[in-house]
Amino acid sequence: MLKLFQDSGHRAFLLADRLANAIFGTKWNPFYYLGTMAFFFFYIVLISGIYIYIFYDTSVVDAYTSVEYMTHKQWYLAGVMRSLHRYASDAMVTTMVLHLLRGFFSNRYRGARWYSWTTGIPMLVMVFAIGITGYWLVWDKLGQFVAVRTSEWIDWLPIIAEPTARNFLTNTSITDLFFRLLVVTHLGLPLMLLGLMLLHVTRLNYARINPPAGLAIGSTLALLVLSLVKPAVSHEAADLSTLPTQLNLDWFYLFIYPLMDQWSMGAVWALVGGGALLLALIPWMPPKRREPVAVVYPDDCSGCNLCVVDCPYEAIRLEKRTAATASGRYAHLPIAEVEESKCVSCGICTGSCPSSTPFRHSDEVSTGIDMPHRNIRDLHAATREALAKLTGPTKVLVYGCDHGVEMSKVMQSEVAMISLPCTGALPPSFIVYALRNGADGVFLTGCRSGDCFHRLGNDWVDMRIEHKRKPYLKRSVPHERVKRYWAAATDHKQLIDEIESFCQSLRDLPPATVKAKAEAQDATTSRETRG
Amino acid sequence: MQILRYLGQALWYLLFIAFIGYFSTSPAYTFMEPGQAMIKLAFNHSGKLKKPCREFTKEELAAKPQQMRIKFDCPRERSPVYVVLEIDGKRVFEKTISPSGLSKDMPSPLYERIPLKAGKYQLHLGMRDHVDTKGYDYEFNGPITLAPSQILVIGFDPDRKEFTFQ
Repeated sequence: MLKLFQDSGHRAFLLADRLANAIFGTKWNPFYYLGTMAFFFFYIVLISGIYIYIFYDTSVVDAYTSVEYMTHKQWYLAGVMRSLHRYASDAMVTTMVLHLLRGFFSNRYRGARWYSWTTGIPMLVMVFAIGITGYWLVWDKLGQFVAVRTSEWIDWLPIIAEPTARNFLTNTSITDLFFRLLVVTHLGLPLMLLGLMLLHVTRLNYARINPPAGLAIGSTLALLVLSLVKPAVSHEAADLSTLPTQLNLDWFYLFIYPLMDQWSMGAVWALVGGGALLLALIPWMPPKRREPVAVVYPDDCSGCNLCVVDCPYEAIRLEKRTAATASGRYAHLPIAEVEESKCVSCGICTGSCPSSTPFRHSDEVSTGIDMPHRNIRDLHAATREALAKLTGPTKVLVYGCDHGVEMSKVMQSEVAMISLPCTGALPPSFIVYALRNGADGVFLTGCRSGDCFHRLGNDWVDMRIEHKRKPYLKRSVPHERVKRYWAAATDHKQLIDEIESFCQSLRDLPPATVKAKAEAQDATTSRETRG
Repeated sequence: MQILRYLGQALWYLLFIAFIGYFSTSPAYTFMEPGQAMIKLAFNHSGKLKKPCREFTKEELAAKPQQMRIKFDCPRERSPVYVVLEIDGKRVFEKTISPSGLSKDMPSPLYERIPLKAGKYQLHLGMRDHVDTKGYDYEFNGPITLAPSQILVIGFDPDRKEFTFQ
């Protein structure tokens, strides 16, 4: 049931991605930058908040008047800033929720990835708390409603001896001191949120915290247009002797308040508290057996640092060798060490290890860092087996990943498939190996560009092939024999078309010449991959 | 083709701001109808001590250490407070409120919202601050008029020992 729900949600996101990719391209697709967009909207909220705070009066009597001054008298700047403050806050909560949903539907929250998920939940709670206190500060009828209902909601808890709602009985019962305390809360919570934001991305290598400039400019302009077309305005001034009647609620933040009138306060607490707790614990529900983590082989690890810089989850670091690991030809060099709690078993480290090569003089293929359950020997054997199966006029070996198109869906007579935990786990030397041992071409696929399940796998593959990141694909490999097409799980038709078109392009090439050229150049560049 | 992409982006941002702009204020929520009013019963009142002070017997005092021999035994626990509100003869609120505090020696807090339609009503309010009291220790009987949207706060003045209306 949960799987079906997740699959449906994931398909919906993939569909939306396709539309956004067509409009923005993969580099600017807003759905690929939901987290960074939330960060960006937070910066807008912060800057606009600092500006309007200059004009804001923190006393009960004058708070409303000062907001009205900004809205009407200085509408061209303070008023626009107020509107930006509100709309960027709404956009922030929207992108945060979408970011959360995307992570849930695409199953990117379990195992070692629990940390980013779980630190995100208190952030969401905090954003709501900041938003709610913000509405309070305007001290209009909506602020009055929010203040009174919030305190009545808090008073439901049995830990509160004296009802806090009694602070809002009459216009004289609320003091400037209490109001200033609220201002401090509204200013202090964002600082705490900033700390949580840093924690949220702590375990990510090359964490993206800023969206592409084009997307940031487009979103800012859009919010600016909204601020001018529909400026944020207040309700009437708060008056505790009269009831608020009709309210223009900000549904992004205040959706729980109508629930307080429909349900009991206890039920709303159950929804909010229970919901937050459930979300925080969801990475362990149901418990999942973790896949084995990467293992370092001291005799083959040269301490080159490539796996350290390639690991998307900061799970590898270089350490001095101990007596147990100081063996082999690299005994005098540092050694990679895997932090088990952070490893997600993606295998990208194996793909980045220069020792991961099928061109070995020894009988057994080995490497410096490997996945115990899907190791380099298995990949070597699978490649040889797949090459042996290729009997058609054009022989194409496809390396894909477990999170892209299901390999069985694109099976063709001229094609053999191998699926990896991530395409980034493929050492470039295997492409050379396949071409030298009977393949006319190698086709690489995996998640859509910008949406790698393991964050950076397809980026690393692109850069290795384009000689922008070590280990490089040998320059001698003819580019027309290697093709990449990044496709989501739902893109099997497009992938079949791309493979067919690749087969066709290979048929037009003179095979013997190209292979001979490649082999000749290999002799001179054989040390490149170890660069 | 590029123009189509720019148009698509413009449409995308338009939908984005339409979504944000609409749900930031709409649909409007009616918390209370304009003809509604509300009574808020809100005060802290300390009930009488549950048990009166009692003089220790000579035997009891003799059993205590020298420094603990005080004359009276005064239990701290206070009695719950009982409050009842009747409007036009109909009981709309009735509650026995326990004293707060771990030793139940603090005031009994009350905060209750009673929504009503605006109009004139005959109010009867009674409170007793000891469980053994027959009838009410404090009582109010009289007419009230609630204007549309008015919030009438009923409190209790412990010095004048009477209900207050704000």
